[in-house]
Amino acid sequence: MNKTMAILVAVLVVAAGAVAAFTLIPGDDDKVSIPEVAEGTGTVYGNADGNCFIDKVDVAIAESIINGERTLEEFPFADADCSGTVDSKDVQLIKDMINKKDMKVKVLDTQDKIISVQYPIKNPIILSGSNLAPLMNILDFSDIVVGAAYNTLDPVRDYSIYNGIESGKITKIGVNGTAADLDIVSELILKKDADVMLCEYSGMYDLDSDVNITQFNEWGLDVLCMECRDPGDDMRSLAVFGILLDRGENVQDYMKFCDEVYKDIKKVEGDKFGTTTVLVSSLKSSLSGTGSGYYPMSITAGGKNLADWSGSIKSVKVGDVWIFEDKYASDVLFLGASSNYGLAEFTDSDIAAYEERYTNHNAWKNDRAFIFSTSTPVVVRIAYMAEFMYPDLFEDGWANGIHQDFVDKYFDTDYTVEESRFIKKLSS
Amino acid sequence: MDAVSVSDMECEYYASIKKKKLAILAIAILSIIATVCSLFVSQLSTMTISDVMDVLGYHMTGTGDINPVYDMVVWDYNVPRALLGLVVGSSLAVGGAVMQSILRNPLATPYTTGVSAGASMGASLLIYLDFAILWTGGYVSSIAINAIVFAMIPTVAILIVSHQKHITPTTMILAGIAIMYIFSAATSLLMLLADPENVQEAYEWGIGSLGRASWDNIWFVTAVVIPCMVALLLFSKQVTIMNAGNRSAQSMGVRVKMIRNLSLVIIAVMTAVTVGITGGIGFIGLVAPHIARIFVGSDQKYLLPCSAALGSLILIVADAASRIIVPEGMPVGVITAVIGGPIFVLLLIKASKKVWF
Amino acid sequence: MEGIPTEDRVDADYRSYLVRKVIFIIGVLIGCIVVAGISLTINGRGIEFFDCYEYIIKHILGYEYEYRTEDWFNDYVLWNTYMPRVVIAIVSGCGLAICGVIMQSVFSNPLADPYTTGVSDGATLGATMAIVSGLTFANVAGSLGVVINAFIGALVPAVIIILISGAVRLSPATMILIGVALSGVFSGLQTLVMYSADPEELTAALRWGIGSFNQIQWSDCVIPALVTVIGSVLSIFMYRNLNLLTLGEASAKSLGLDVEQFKSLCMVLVAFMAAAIICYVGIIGFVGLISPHFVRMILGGDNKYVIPASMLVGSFFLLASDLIARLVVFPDELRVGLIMSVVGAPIFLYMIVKRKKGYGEVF
Repeated sequence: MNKTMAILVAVLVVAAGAVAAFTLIPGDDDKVSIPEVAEGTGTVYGNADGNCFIDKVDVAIAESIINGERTLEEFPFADADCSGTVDSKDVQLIKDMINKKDMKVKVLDTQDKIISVQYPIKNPIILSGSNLAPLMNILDFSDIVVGAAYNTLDPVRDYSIYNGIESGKITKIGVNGTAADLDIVSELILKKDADVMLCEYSGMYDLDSDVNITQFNEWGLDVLCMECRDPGDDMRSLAVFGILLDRGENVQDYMKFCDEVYKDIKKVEGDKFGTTTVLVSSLKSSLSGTGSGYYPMSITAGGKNLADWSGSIKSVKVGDVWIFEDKYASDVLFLGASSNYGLAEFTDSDIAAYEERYTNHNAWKNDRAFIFSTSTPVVVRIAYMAEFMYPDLFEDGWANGIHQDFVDKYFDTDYTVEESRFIKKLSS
Repeated sequence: MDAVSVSDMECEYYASIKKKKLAILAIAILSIIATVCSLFVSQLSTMTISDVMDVLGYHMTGTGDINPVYDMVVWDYNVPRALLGLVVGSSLAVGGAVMQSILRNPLATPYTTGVSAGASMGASLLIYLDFAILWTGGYVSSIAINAIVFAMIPTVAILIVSHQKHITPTTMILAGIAIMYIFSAATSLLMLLADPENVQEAYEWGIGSLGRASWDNIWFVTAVVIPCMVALLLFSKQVTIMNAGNRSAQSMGVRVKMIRNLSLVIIAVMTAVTVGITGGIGFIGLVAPHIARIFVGSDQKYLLPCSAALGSLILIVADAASRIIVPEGMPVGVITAVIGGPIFVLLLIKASKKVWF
Repeated sequence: MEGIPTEDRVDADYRSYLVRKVIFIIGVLIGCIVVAGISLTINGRGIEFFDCYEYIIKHILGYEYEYRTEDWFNDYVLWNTYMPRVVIAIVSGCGLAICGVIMQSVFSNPLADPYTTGVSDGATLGATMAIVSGLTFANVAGSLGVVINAFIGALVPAVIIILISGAVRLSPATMILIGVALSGVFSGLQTLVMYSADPEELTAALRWGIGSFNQIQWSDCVIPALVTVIGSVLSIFMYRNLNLLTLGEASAKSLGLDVEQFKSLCMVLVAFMAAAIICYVGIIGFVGLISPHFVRMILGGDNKYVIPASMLVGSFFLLASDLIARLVVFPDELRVGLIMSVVGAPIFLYMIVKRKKGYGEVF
């Protein structure tokens, strides 16, 4: 054969070999990068990497556990059917979840119980506690909600539920965020095929209607209660709900938003971070302790919380002088009360009640006692705390700007945030 | 025959009177000592006795170098608290002593005509519903005004009814209890519809505490209580005679009905004002007069001062105990109930020996 | 001669007297059934009056429906949510009324009932202590431990009152005052126990104290029903001795009754019944006070009829009060205990102010 022929054949062979190589050997786009460690927020079994999505990465992690590259201890949520081991059944389940097949998934709630929940959620009922409410806007799923229990609705913050109630799409099922009327719920199950009840975990709910959960389950309604009080649990509940409602992107977005705020805080405060001493109260008659949600909040905001009692609160009655001890003489006092977007502001009696207790406190005497609203999202409260603890480091109105950003993003209505409605100085 | 001469009897009589006066004096002195001691009790673990002495010295002589926090705690908190304890303790005990005599029942207390229940209702109205009869800008004083007004209502009601028809003291007691039930039901209704936070506040208020004492409200309470106690002391002779029974008293020229009603009003006013600030501190009005009777007998002329001294002593000691036992301070009403209760039961069980029932 | 009743007249009178009693009892019984029916009708599913009876009867007969259909839900809701309420209302009314009858006879005090004498508060304290601090006198976990604690708690005021009334002749007013004072003690102790509780726990505890039939399950009805049945049977057989007591202690003794022992037995029974009911329902006052009085107004004072009639009347009152409690702020609920207090306290006041000496007691 002549030279040209040989070269042609060689090129063809190489080309054929390359094509074969491409098609036969598993390609790079299936090779997903597995994170080193699971995030641990979206505690849905099957969501191996713990973020807000069930996707190929989770499949890959499960497979890598099967073939021994990784272990179940590193990624406990890869075990989609909670059987104790990861096998092909789990991989299939995860794939079904990606395809949004009608099924039950297992969720680890904030009380460390494993609950079986309908997925994807089509007709939820919600018990809107005061901490769950601000999160609802982020999740933006009110178009599928069929029933809600609430005490009073803030027409601005809770606009989605509010509009739903007004238009009749959403039925009121209870008069506060802790209990649901059985009869009305049964109607919703019957008529509107309600499948899951989402609620904020609260001690009172447990006391009143622990038994109801069993009844609801008998009726085929899954009940998922998640704690929403401190920043960690807040994020976790959001992530879980996000997965179940297919709003992972919203949640991820919000998490980025929060992360940026926290990074900003660290940057602006620099090495002053953690130097200002602070005490926080969320109830008129007590100060929050290390077990309360406000402790980590105040620390994230850059404060040094002087509370040294382990419960969530320690009572402060009028005439108590223990707060005047040197070790509790904080630079700043944050006193919480409810002040809403569309409903009432701080009341005189709230302010008077605090005045009666703290007027001789170090912080009050130095004009550094502030009353703040407990009805805003956690990230906003942290921003306010940071700005008011370090007023000379932050720009005036920085926190308010963040609040306005949040409102612009997640409230459907036009609303201008007035700072004095959400944080105010209490002077002597 | 051993004739007891008149002078012997006179000697005995004067001796017993002297004993009574000594008893009153002794208890009163104890009370003052307890009051002074209570100034040194505080929730601040770092404040020592010498610190307190420094502060007191400063205020008495105007010189000396003191820590402003200690000054504030001792002078703005402890001293008014002690003074209030004195005033309230004696007011409750005196009220109890007189109530027991005019209602002729050893279990009567100043709260028997419904004063405490009315006051709780008034406080609840403010705490739960923000309904203030007169908003003074201060939480404690506004609650106090509500409480005082509502505390007077049951007594006024009973007195009006007693004017219409003849009512025995027993009926008055029972009517007072019935009114207490009614107010209690109304307060429960309010509680059911309220926030847990407010519930805790109202509940604590109702238990009774001296913590709300301050220089602002002390003068008011004292200004009302002292004249009332003096007035009651003025009636003491008549009330002592009333102990013998209405008919006997009337035949001796005592205007029973007028004295009874007037005493009720005075006691109501006095008690309402104290309850308005402290809440319902129980058992002092019940137990102190009985213990006082052990020392000085039933003659109101001695019983009232002795009860006053004893009542203030008990209250001061209870308050100091409540601050020592629980450093964060427990409401004193809890201590008086927990300790007063068994004492009350003991007194009842021993009562079979007394003639008084 | 005119005016002397002939034998026929006496017979006729007696017969009409009996007939009146029977009519009354039947009337109250029918009333109970009707009110129970109305109570079932107040449901969020819109089940009609006669349909309710139908569902209940069918359930008892064993009908079953297809899962998650309208009928299935109706049956489930009626049987599991509303029927237990009806049953517990009947049981509590019955039990508390009997407590009232017994106490009123034993102490010759027309104002006695578990609430006014502090027995209820004692039971509540016992139960609270058991629930909150895990403190039980008996090492029995769960509901039985709570009931036993409540029983011991209820015994305390009962014992105190018996001891005192044994030593001293207590006027009714004094006994009530003792009850008030004891309530004060228990209230102080309760504060001690609840001291470190946070507002929500405290509120839950306080609200639990106000009697309510909310969320009652069938399992909650067992102990109260058992205890009440035992108590009813015992008290019906004791009616003669109770009648004797109303003649006065001296007369009773001379007629052969061991007064001290009998009184103690009665109080133990009362404490037990009150404790069993209060543990599951909370405090409901005035039922024990009013039911016997109402019955005595119509049927006279013979305990042979007063006891059974009071049982029925008590049940009727509680069924009716529960109905009112649910209607007033529908769909929310006011508690039965509250309604009874709001209604009972003024009646108590009225009884005091308008009392006639005709009852034969001296206040």
